[in-house]
Amino acid sequence: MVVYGRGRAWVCGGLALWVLAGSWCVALATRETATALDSNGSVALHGDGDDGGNNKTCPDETDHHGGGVRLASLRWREVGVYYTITAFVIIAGLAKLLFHHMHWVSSKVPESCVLVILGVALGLLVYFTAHKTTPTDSCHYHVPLPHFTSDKFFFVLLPPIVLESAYSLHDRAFFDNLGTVLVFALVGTIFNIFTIGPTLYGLNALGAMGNISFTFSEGLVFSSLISAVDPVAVLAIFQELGVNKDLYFLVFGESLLNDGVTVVVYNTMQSFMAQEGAVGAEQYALAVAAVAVVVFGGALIGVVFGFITAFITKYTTDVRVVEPLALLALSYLSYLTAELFHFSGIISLIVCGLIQAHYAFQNISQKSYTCVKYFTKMASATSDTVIFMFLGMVLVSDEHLWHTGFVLWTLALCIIFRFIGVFVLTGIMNHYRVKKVGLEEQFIAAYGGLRGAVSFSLVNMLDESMGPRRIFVTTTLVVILFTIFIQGTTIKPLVSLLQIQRASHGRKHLGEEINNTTMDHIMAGVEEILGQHGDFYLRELLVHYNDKYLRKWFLRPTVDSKLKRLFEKIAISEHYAHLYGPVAMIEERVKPLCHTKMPSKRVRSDSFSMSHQDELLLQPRMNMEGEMFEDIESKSATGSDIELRQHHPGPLLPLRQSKVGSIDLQRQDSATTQTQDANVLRKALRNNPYNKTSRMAEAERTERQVLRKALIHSSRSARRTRYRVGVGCVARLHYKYNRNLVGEEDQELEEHLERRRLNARRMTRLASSTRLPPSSAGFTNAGGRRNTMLESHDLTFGAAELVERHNVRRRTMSARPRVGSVLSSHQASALHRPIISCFSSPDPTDSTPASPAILMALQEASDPLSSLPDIRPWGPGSGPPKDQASTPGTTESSLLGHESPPSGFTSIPESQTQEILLSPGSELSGTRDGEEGEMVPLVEQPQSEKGSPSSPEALKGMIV
Amino acid sequence: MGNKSSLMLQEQDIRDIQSETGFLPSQIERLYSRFTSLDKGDNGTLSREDFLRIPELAINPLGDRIVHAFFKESEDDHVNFRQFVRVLAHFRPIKRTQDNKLNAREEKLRFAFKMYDLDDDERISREELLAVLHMMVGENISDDQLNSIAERTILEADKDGDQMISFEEFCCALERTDVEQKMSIKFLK
Repeated sequence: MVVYGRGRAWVCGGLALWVLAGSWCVALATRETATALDSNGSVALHGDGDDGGNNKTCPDETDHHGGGVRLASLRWREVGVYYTITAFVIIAGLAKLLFHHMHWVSSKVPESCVLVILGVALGLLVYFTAHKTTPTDSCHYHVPLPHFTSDKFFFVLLPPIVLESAYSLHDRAFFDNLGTVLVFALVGTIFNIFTIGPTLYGLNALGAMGNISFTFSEGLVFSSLISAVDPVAVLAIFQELGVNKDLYFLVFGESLLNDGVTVVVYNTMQSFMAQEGAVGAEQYALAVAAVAVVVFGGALIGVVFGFITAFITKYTTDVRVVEPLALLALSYLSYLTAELFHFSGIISLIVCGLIQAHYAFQNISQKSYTCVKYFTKMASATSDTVIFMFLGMVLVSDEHLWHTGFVLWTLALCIIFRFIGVFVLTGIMNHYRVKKVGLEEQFIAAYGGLRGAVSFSLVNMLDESMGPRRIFVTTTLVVILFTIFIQGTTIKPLVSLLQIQRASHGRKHLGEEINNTTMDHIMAGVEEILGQHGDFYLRELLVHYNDKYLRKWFLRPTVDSKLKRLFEKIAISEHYAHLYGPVAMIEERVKPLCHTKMPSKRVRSDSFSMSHQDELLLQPRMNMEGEMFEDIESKSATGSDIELRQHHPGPLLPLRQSKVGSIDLQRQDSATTQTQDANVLRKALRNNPYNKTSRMAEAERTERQVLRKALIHSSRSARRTRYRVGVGCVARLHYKYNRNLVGEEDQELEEHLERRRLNARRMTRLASSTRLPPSSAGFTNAGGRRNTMLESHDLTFGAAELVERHNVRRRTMSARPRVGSVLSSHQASALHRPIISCFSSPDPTDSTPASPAILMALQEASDPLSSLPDIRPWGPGSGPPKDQASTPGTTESSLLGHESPPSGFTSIPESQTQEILLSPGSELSGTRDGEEGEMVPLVEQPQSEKGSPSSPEALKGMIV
Repeated sequence: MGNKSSLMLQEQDIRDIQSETGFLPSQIERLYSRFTSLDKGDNGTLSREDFLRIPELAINPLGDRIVHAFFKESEDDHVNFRQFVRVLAHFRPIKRTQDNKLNAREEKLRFAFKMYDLDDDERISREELLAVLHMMVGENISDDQLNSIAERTILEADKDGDQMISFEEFCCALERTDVEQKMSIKFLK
């Protein structure tokens, strides 16, 4: 529905314009009616102190208020500042929104470019409406639009961005690459500064540029500010790129950490400039020492504040509200403290953020964590939007002084030396690295050296009296724009062209987690035996002392280890799967038949993948790389169970199941005759290797490829016809690496639920497909084992695990009376008329007659659907009858013939769950994931929390 | 035999070792000097005591297992230089150009597998996994939970339903892990 998407885009655009126009009208109206009213006109974005001083210079202000009673008046003087600021920020936010709804733009152009353009538009507006009055005249009104100042940038806009990125740096990949990153940041930046500056000076001296004169020191000052690779610009582009972690942290880490060097060299060069001529060797030595002081001083302050936060959050159990405050305020304080002493605030903030992420995040509650995560994400997104808009706005000015030679030479040198620096340094570093940085990656790292607001702030801070200042400002802007626009827009195609490895998302398995620890220990041990104290050894040492002392000092005793948290996460997601899986399965079967608006044959023909369509449609919106494969796996598993069932017809309960399966089969058959996609699918199914006892891995691979192709194809055609916004193929990537999604994973409720549902369906289907004729009739141990062997040999990892799970469960449960095998009278009586009518009037395209058997299965299936608590925002939500607290359990057992699951998770009594919900400490016992914020207890959906195993017993019960 | 390896490293030995393991001669010499410095008895072989004397190994929870892995091939609880180097060769980085058996992915994985396989039966049972987990994270997690984790891990990896993890299953479970990078170190020259 492209039209719909566009429509929304226009609505957003309209809103943006409205806010813009609204604030503008107010501003202009005020300007005319109360010229003398406002003196705060030139206020800086966050109301800097110097503007307050201006107030007193206007004598007529007080007169204005001294008048008599008024019915209506404007308090623009007091409110105006905040009004414009807020309006500006909202415009920025809306611009972002608009951008993300314009898929045809957002898939091609990076966000930062669009924002800069919008900034230019705003700048033009300011220029033509409010340019007449001079800003120095404080008593005259001029439009109080916020404008760019270096203070604002460094003290308001930059910190949130750095903090957010510091949290994201808490990643194994960053520490693995730390050495290279530091070399890039230190040596690379210095190399750039001391090559660009002198070269520019030399070229000028040779007369290659034309009439411009600057001294050697001035040249170095300029090169030091132009060499600063900008974290904001890099972040904006690279987050959208979705390159592999090593490359990402290489470029991003460099851009963050080079701050210390840039600022120091910049300051030093300025002081050299002041005492022109006599720069002794000892001065240079001092400069080197200054770099060390600034960097390490900043880091030290960061460490101190980071541990203070950890220590504070250790004791906040009863005062959860202060947790986010402690984190946010203390990190800002660490930034300010470092800046106070002229240390590098950025480095201080990064170190502080890293320590917070390591300790404080584990101390705070899940909700506080979410709060911090959301707040920093929001603040940093707002900041970088504002920064880019400012950059656009400053372009519109009379003060620019264009100098072709200088601009072009600077641009060329920046690019050339960036490339040389990166290639030489990685060449050296590769010598020491186990994992080499490939040539393509080096290219992207060099190409991604974007300049941005840091450079501009520094050039803005240059002394007014400096001769070539205006040329420097203009040149800096040109370089920034060039890197953002030209390099920023071309880097995406280049990444695809060079086939850079993308970031991989995937769920971790317990085994992998355990093995990572093991491998670390092994490697540390080997290094110890070798007497070679490398990275692994240092790491081991750190971990050792961390466990021995730091954890005790800075973490609560209740904090769980990483492994346990991962375990709980897996357990919980499986628990949900078992709760919702059956529901999802019911829906999936009922929906296509009940769906009266299923018009085109085209869609119908895709019906094999119908049940998967939403899965595939969801694809672009999900961050799971492996999802596609998992889908296919589940599909092949379905295929296999069809085959298998023919070999082992299940006599007892699987009666129902095989019917369900046969629906699938029939639908497939009717579908496959119609389109080519489906033909491919059928071919794939016919050659399904699962019904052969022995199977080559090769065959399987090609099989999957065929399946995958078919799936992609059918999903594409389906996408054309079915719901969701007009998500084109191009927009996929954009969605996948959308940097505006908080937490990047499943923080979003809807997505969370949908993914859980998909997961649930997949697992349940696998589980049900691998069920065997149970104990009484066909079940012999040998037969069961044979089947299990066959199945689990064929199925992939996840499937096999489920098979085994269920086998184990069956084994343990076989002694107990079976609950779900007989239809309960309640269910039998509560047949659903509407749904039946749906079935009995079969879809014209569906040639399959609705056999009584199917009907029965479906009626039965549809029954619990309506009586379920309304946990599914996606489903037809009928009112949940209160008296059926244990419906999930009955659903599961009745539909699929699961033995009633072990007590503990489905049978938490209502009252008890209420207690859990109400008790203040309940959030403690829920899952907590300090790293990614997955599995956030869904507060907005109390029903879904109802089933959540908030008690350890429940957790344990699940893993039988 | 273990004792045969001489105190001086012969040219021929270096060449043999180089062709077998892929180490550079300079690396072999370096390893040899480390070997002799560990060899307190000066008999050309290392005993378990020699290994365990390394102070840093004491804090490594898997220290004993790693040392044990060096004695896989020896019959008399002594490791000669050849065997020493061969074990270490597992951890050489993989290069595309070189085709060496010892540092292949499978060998690296096998080394990791051996860490868990306490009774050398080529299978990891739940008890074995639990024991290793105890060594690594025992202090932080309660026994019950550790038990569940071990069980769950076995279930994840186990495919043939014998409640054990065989080496093949182990490899499958680590399919997505970048073992080549994670289990390689840069040997100094």
